[in-house]
Amino acid sequence: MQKVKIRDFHQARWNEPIVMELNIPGERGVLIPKADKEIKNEIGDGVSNLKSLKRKSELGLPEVNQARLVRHYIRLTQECMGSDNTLGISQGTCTLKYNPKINEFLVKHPGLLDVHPLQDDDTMQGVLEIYYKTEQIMKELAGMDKFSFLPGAGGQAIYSNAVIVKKYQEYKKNTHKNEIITTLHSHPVDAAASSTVGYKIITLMPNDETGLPDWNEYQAALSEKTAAIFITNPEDTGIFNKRIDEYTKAAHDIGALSVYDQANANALIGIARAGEAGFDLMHFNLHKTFSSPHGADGPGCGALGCSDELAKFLPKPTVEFNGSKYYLDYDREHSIGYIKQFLGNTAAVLRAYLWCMNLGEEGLRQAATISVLNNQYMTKEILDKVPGTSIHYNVDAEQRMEQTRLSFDKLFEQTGLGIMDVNNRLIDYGISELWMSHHPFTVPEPFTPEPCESYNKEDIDYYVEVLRKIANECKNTPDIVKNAPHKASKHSPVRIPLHSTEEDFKHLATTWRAYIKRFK
Amino acid sequence: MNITKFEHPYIPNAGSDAKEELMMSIGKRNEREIFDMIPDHLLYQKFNLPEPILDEYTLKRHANAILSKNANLNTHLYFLGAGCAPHFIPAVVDEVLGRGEFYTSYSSIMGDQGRGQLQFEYQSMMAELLDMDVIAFPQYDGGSSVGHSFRIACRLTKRKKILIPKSMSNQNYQIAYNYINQIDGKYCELITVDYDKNTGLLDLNDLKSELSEEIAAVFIENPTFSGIVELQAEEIGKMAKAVGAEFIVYADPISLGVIEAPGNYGATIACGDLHSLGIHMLAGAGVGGFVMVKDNSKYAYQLKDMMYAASPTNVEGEIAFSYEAAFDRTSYEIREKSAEYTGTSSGLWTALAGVYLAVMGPKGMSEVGTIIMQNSQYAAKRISEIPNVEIKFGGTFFKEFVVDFTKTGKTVSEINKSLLKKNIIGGYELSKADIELKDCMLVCVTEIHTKADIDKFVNAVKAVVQTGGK
Repeated sequence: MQKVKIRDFHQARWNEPIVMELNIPGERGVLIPKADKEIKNEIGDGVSNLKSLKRKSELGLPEVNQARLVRHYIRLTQECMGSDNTLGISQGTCTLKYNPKINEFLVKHPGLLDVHPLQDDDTMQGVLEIYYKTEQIMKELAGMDKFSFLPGAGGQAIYSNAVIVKKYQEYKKNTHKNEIITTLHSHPVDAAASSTVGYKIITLMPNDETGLPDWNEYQAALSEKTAAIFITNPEDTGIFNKRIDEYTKAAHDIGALSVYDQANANALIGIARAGEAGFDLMHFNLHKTFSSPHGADGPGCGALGCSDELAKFLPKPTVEFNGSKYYLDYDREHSIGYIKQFLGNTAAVLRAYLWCMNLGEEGLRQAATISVLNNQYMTKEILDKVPGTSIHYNVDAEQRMEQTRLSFDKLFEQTGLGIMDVNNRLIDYGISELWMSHHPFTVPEPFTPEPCESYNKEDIDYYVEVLRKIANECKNTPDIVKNAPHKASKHSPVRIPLHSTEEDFKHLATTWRAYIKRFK
Repeated sequence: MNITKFEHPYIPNAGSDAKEELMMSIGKRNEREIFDMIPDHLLYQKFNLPEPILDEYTLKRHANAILSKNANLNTHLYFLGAGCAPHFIPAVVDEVLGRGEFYTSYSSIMGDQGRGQLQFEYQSMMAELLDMDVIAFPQYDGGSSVGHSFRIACRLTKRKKILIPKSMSNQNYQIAYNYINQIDGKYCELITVDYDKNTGLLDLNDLKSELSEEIAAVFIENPTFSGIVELQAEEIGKMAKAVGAEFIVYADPISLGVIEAPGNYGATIACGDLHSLGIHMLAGAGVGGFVMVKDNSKYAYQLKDMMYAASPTNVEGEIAFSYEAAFDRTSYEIREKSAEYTGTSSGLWTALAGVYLAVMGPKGMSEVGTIIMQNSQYAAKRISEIPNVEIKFGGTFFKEFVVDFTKTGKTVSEINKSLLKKNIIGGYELSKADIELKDCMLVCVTEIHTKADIDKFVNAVKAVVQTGGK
């Protein structure tokens, strides 16, 4: 094997002032149209009828010339680590795959960018056609009977699914069903969104050997009160529950619904489906598996799929086709109603359509296959080559799917430095921090890389070599690691309040006006 | 080994020798073995998917053909609003939108300090615009910002009733209503307060009769869904506070260069949708919610979403950012123990709203508010000159106003169909909004409209209402 050469990296460091500090009265960022002279003559200033509600003080926004603003923003974007300029392998469970440029080009087509969501269906047949065709593809990939693209991201899809569970159980007159079962290694939002709908949450703890919920504990948790189970598979750990169909069946046997959090379905598209596993409800995050960029925290899309029996409960509106025309259906008696404005994230749906059309069945299957292959290879490489790493839940350790929950526990024991230190140092190599684990941690010093199909062997080998180098630094030159990052845009913030206490509030600054008050 | 190769630009290891190398290295002889963990009966092979379009050029042609079917700002003249509207978007905003390092970023704190600064600047300028102090990550849209505000008010006051205007946006009402519904009853009860049928303003007598010490909050939209500027806002706020209720104001941010900031007339919670701040319509994807409170920990810690905060570093004068501020509020950390769930929402739009505000500056925001008021008043005046067509509500309006076609004998739907033949997208049909307005159209006029555009629209409306009966 060729020796991996680590590049010499330094992130852009511009020390840009806060934009308010660039203020020079009289400078302008842009000139905007003025009302036509005749309108002005006829109407006057147009604002005197605001009376006492007319804005009195000038806005505290900066006055900055356009060139300076452009420099400001280009510099700030240079101080980012997106999957476009760095390896997105670090952020496991998030699937930072390549976001195709042709998709971004087409999202800016005026036939999407400049379309109003409330214009007549007849005038946006193209948008509705994309929705309808994408729905047919999703149905096939999930083994579900109907889809809604309304939820704005995974959390909202889970919330919507919890509302559908509520509506379904009310419909069945099962109002005594007030519990939802989830697992600790499912995303925390499965618990949180369900509890937002008022459900009592029962969380199954992982078995120490397998990392999976214990079957007997699951049986014991199921009861007359169970409204649904909300479960991820594979879980955040990358472990696949082989008995998943038994779990869904056991839920059905007591009148509960089985809900699948498939936010990250990257290992399974074209391989296995929610339908065969017995799920009634599920969602895909189009901003993970289906190539929409994460947009620095959305907007995403949680594509919500359901079985025939639950289709009537889907949020409004749905997109339908009558053989000659696509239309929005608002007239849905049993619908849970509205959960999101307009049509949801049309851009994410277009990108998902393009992704699926561009890859086809074989391509989608290869994407899943390579994402799992890449991860199984990378897991082995890390455990073989990076000192101080280990894998917990040892049963079938070589059978992780698209991501693996690993641990720097031994490194921590040997050096006193753990994942937080490694993370700070990763930035110095041009790689973003490793995703650790959702809360609470079940593995000490956890980390969860996800080398999805976008990365080739060289990328993975490079990544592993960086981890190996940092682990060695922890032993040999710990001070360099402790004081990292050295080559990032900024040094670490030292006064971010982590707790919701009165004391911490004294240095909470989410705005410049608060920062001046607190720190200047 | 018999390895299928699949050459594709997005899956490098599928087409090169790496696939075999990787498989050998982990001892897998075929693709089935990669999925050893999945039992046979859970695998699926009979997918019925459309034939792929493997090359980029053909894919582009295919998508162009579909998207070109949609009427858009290049092909039609729009007077449609109702929560989404055509606005001028400075080119600098689109330049930042196109920066891949930014839009492909996600959850790195130290690697994405530039993103942290973009978000912090957005938050800071929103504070100036609304005269509020604390803000967290966005919500999905204006509707979810209303639902979140309702829940905050109930937790703060430990009361269970919220007063809302009957004229409220039906879409936002429905979204918020859903959000407060729980299996064990409602998080709170929503009680409607009537509006004055002449002015469109809140009926203060009705408000007074509903107010009591059971009320958690009084919610208003300013401007209202029908475009009316709620000139009594300050008084409404005082009435709310007199009974210990929160005063929640839903504001259209683009109006705030000319209309007073909610924080300056008594709002204790401000919320709204970011759409008007430089976000494209995108057939409805260009929306994002915000909720802001004053500099008070009791309020701030009720915000459910992550927060970007700024902090000094150990280097003199340097400021760095982290979204983990008061992280122990969020469902990421405390799961079901958090009051509400959080997750990925609309981060791209918040950053762009910040860029928009900086590019516009104080003068731009004031000017854009002014031209919107002038243009919309001019349009209303011209329309009111058409026989049998009336402007509903005598009050001051911003961007949108209600046109009553009852006396023309034409429905809004008929009028819009005729307008469409002239490549004009007419206003929103208010009978759909469930606010007791039949045969009324909500007309939206912004800074993008010229006098010629408005005149064309008015003449087209005139031509429609003057031909034939129903």
